[in-house]
Amino acid sequence: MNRALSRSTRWPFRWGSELRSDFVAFWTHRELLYTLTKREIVSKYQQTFFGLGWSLLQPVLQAIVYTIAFSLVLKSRGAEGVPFMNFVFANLTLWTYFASGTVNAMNSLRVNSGLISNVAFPREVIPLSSILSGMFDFLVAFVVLVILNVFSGFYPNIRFLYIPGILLVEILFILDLSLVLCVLTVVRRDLTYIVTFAITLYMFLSPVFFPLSALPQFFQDFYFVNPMGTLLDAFKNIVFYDHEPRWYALIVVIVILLVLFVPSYRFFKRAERYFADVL
Amino acid sequence: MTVVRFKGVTKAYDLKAGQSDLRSALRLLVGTAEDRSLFHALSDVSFEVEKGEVFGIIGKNGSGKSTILKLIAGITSPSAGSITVDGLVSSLIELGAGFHSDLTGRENVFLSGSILGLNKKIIESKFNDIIDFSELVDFIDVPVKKYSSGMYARLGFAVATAVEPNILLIDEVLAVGDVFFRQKCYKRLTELKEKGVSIIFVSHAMGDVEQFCDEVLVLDRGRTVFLGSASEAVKQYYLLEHQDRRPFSSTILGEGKNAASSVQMNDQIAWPVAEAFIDPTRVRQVSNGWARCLGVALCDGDREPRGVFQQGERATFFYEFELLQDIEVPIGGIVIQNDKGVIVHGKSTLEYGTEVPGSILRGSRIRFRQDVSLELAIGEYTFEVGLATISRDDFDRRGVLGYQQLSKKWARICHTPNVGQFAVVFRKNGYPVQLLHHGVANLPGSCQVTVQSV
Repeated sequence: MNRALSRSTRWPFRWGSELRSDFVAFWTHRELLYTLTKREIVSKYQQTFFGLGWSLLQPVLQAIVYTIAFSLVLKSRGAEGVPFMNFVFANLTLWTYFASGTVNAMNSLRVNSGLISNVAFPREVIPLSSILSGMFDFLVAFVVLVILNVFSGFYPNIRFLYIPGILLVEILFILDLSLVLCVLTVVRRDLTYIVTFAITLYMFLSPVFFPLSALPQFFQDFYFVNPMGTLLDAFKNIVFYDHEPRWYALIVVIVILLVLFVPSYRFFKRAERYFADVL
Repeated sequence: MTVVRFKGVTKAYDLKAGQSDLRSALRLLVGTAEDRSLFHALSDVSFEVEKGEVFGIIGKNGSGKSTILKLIAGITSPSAGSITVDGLVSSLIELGAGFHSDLTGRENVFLSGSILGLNKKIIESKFNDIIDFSELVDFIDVPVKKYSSGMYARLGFAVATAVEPNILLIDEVLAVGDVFFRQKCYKRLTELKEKGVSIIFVSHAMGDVEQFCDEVLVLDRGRTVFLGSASEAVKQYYLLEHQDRRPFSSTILGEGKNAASSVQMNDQIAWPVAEAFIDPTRVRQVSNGWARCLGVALCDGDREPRGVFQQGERATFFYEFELLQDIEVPIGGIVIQNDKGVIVHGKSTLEYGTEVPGSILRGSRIRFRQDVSLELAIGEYTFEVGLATISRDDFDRRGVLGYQQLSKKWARICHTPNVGQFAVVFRKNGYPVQLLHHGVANLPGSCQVTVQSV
């Protein structure tokens, strides 16, 4: 038997139509996505002391610590007329969703190995449901942010309607990264540590603790190469100043992320068939 | 219509991948493992399953049965060869597979449904049926981690069969239920089969396999040993299972002892004429190579060949084997199956307590004559004859060994699945009535009546 020949006839899908049939299979499993997302949220809070409190406590504590560190110890001034506390809290709201979303999605396949080795369904449902379940924490933190801002004199405005769009772009970014990362984590567990560390480094490269406008103009013009930087900037503009996002940067980011999605998804789907063998 | 087609399917696991270095880990994802580190769970397996067929897969542990189910379900992919699966696949591969232990029974029903890609409405419409079948109405809102294994199995089976799949995969899970539940399951499976659902069935219960499957695949270490009729497949499986057995005494056969036990038995049995025998070349034989069947005949009391018997009439089975190797104590017997594959009767020299020689030399022939009163339901039957052997030591202890122990001691040598058939018809002049009894078999017994006067 010719091995090379038999390998190419592995599965009766043709490359061209693969992407579409993958999407169709995914779409028929949207109910599963909903169920798994709900399960993830519920099981996270079901057996804890503080329940919902964790969603609140984490960003609040983080903001307090960073504010003490930066504004009291390091004497960083408030940014562009926004108190440092509010500024950092807003950025962390968006950032935490990115950071924990990426790490959770990355580990999601291993966490759900029971499902993967026993039942068949489009596997991308698992990382995606993990990402979507993080939305709950984001919402809680966002409500805290709005309350905090109201006390500081920043009121909700009509441009808040952009925020779901910003989240959508963020989800796309997390998905691009985690579809590749979760496959690699399946075979290499220690990747989680590396990625967690890399995300922390990335945080300091992104305008979380400083405003984008603090950078030289040259960097500002090309900041779209950093998707999170662009999103943080847009989020800040909406929440505090009722400004339009920097559209050119945002659109470039969306296009880049959409283009990157195709190979990322393909990579995931190609590796998918071996998950059950490895997990 | 073929719903599942395996063509030269090989599944190899790379045992080294993911253990040593990143390169081997990536190798696993790209699928270019070197041959020496490969473990072949399946090698070049081909078969087809038709619509409405019950397809059995049997084999010892680790022979690749579950791998086939996982390949059909799409949980994993083959290393080589092609698989086509046409239709909705519902599976019961592992107890509680696809259930989430924190969720309640109800939530898990919807979870299982959504894994199959069914929407909420469809599952809701089946929900009552699922609860009825699983008999879990009082526990449906309890987290399934509090369920017993029987409850898991009931819910799993109810869900997997209620969703109206085209292909149903079942792996051994029926074994945990009690007898009532198993009966219910088989009834359900029969209904599904009639509706055109293809059922792929992995089991170690050979009786179930023989009774239920249309076609059976026998696997040994990932290779196809046999693909075909259920009754022959089961014999092949027994051969496999017995192939490592050495049914010989530890003591070496002494010359003197040997001579005494090699009795010429030909003279002792009145043998029918040659024409009475089923042509030995046409008899399908499942043998480990130690013996072959020379002829089988079914006769009446006058040693005349017969195919039709009246209910309760005495039939005589004659059969003969030629030994191709020295063996110790022989065991010969017949098995009668009805048209549904149910074994209605099987009895051997071991159970009759027949006097048998302690050893037989290669080249000798051994003849059996077995008289059986066919107190069976009216209908058509098939029969088979078989030869097995057991060591003298174990034979001597047969009375003190339990059945389970004893059945591990003998080895099947030669079987002739479905070698012949006969029909049981109504008696011409029955006393006291024409029908002797109803049901599968007549049981020895009596009945008395008294009336208490007021």
